[in-house]
Amino acid sequence: MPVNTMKKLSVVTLTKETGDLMRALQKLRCADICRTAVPPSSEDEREPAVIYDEELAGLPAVDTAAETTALNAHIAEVGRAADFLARFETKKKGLFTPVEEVSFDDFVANDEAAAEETVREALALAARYDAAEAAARDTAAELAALRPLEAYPLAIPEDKTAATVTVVGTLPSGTDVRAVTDSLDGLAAVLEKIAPVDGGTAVACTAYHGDADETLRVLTACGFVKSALRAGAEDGFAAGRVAALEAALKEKEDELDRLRAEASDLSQKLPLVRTLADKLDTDAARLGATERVKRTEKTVLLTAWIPAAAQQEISDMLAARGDAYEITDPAPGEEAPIQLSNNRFASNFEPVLAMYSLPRYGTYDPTFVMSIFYMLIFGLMFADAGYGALLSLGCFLIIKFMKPRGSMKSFMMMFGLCGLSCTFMGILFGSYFGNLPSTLATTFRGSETWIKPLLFDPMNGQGPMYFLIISLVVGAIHLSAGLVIKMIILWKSGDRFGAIVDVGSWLVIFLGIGVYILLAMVIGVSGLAGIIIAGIGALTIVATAGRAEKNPVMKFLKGLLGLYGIVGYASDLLSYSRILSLCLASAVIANVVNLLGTLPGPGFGSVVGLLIASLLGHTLNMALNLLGTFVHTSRLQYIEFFGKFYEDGGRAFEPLTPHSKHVVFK
Amino acid sequence: MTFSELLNSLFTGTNLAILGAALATILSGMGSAKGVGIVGEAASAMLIEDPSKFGKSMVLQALPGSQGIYGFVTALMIVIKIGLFSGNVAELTVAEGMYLLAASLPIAIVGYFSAIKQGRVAAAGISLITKRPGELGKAITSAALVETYAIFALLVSLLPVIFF
Repeated sequence: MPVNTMKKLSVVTLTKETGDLMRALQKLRCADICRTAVPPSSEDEREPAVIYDEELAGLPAVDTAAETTALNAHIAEVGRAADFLARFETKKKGLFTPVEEVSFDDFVANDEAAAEETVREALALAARYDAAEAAARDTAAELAALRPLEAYPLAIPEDKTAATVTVVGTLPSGTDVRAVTDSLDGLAAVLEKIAPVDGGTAVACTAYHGDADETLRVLTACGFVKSALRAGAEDGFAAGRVAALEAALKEKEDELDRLRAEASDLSQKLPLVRTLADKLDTDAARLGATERVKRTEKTVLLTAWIPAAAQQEISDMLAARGDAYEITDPAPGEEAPIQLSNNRFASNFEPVLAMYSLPRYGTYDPTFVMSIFYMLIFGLMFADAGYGALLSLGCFLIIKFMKPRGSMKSFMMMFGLCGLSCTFMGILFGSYFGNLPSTLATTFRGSETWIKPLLFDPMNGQGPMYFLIISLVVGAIHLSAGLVIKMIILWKSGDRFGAIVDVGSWLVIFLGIGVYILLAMVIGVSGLAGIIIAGIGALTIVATAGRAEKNPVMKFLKGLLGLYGIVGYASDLLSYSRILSLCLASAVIANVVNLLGTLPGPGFGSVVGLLIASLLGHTLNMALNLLGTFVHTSRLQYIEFFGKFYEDGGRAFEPLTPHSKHVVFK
Repeated sequence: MTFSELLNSLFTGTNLAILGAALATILSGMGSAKGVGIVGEAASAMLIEDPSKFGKSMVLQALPGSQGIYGFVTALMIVIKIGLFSGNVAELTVAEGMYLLAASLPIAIVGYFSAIKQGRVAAAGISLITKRPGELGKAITSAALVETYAIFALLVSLLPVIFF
């Protein structure tokens, strides 16, 4: 499957029209506004998707700095408002609530002003709430500090009579109050313990005015800190102050409750605020793209990549606007961005390709062929009908109820399909949560299970050997498919001789080996035919691999060296033995889980045991092996399959689109 | 009891088989613990900056954990084969015990080293996705390349045990 053909769009419009043009393009979602640059001196320095144009590259870009700064500040504000309201949201969005669809134009026309108003209200409310919360916190702290002193009958921190002064404060914990009293010996002062408080002991010290300063000096040396609390006679001393603080705290908490209720009411409009956040991010994306637009004194010049399929739509829009535009093919040496186009089945596997690297523009997109092998190998590696059915069910339910989008949806579809493949393989090889059916039958009925594998059990008798052979045969077909693709690519590029001798001869060798194995090992007759076929392939390689050399001796040696490539193919092929390994790993753990569950023997104990073992063991086994299977199935595609023909290094086509995080803009 | 009687009673076939199961679990588990630990440290450093990448880092962190599972699987196969779960442990000859002990060695040794090396590759992958979150696939693939050898070792350990 080739990747989609791209065209280069250039538009010239008046400076004041820039915003409208960008909005129109964003709405069509099919223009990737690209950087223009001076053509580099060498081919190697060319970057995918960059448009090379000496004249354009020299022009200054549209300056959006001021607008971007203001917009970002506004986005931060809206984010704060949304975060605040989310704290009081009563109706939380469920895990399975699908994302809502909103018409962008409708929102801008009807709801944006209301959303902005909500943001203002929310921010004002947030400020009031924060202030009230801080005040309540302060009051509560003061109350907590004063409460231990509630029974203290004098003014805090200092109470004076005509002859004495009484100071309240704290001695750090661990201070021996009696020792402090002793050190006051000789001074006309009395130290009294009031109550233990946070971080020490509250004490009151009464001294004659004459000795007050000296007393305070001695106390301070012992770690005494004068109380920061205030409770005078006018407050009704500590008790009165505590009562007043309690009343104040109650009032502040009531105030907080009112604010909470208000915020909760306002949070009804949270979806509106979130839509606004998406709308502003949409604006930000557009401004970001505008930075790549060039300007002259009165006009702006925009260059973008568009899919050839969208050519008509864009022409119509630009013609209606009256802009000057031109749509051309990519210039030589320019690499357009990549938009994959596959059928409904294979497109679900595109993220696997993207995880590796997109193909270069104009090269072959192997998604379709890969997706078939992906399902097949995934199914073999994780061949279990129970796990497979659960996987499919889970993925399809997520798609049905959560309505994921983009690559997330593709991944879910892909795993769902792979789950079907696992189920099918599980039935072939008789694995249902490992050996659960036979474990159940032997434990509870003392008999053999009637559920038998359709082919054979990879865990018993010669099973592992047969499964290894299946793994390697699948590998051989997979590798050959890679070579066939390489051959077609070479053939189409005009190197027909290379296609036949460099790639085709290897296929002939493999065919020969295959025929030999079939005849000599499976059927049991002479495998001479296979040896002859493989020999023809090998001779072709020896004869042609050194064709670039002039010296006939070197030609021959290089030819022989070409045969050494068989080592690479052999190691590629053996790499597929991991299919057996991973299949066995998941099956053994599943069997052990079943075994542990049924240890209590026939009866109720095993029912409970199996339930617990299934919930813990099978879940864990499934999670671990899914990761392993995904990683290693991908690896077989990336290294063994792609290694034969794939040309990577493409940049994804990223058209300017509305930003959709909380809602989907239609 | 003479010294040779002591040796005879220690090195029974069954004990050797259990030793094999123990080695497979111990060594590959040690390697995996170390590998997962290396990635975890690197991941935490990244999560300071961007906690939302936890999902991605967890996939990378889980990768070097598989050797420990492979060792565990081998050990389980051995103890199942000698009948530990069915209640009547088989009396193996010394040669049979050595067979199972030898079978456990590939995953024990290769598992230990490959898990640590894989951990280092995955930790480097963490710094890759710190700067380029879109390149998780490449980070995973690099780490998975190391695991190949653990998988081969598992196969070479498991097959003799299954055919025992």
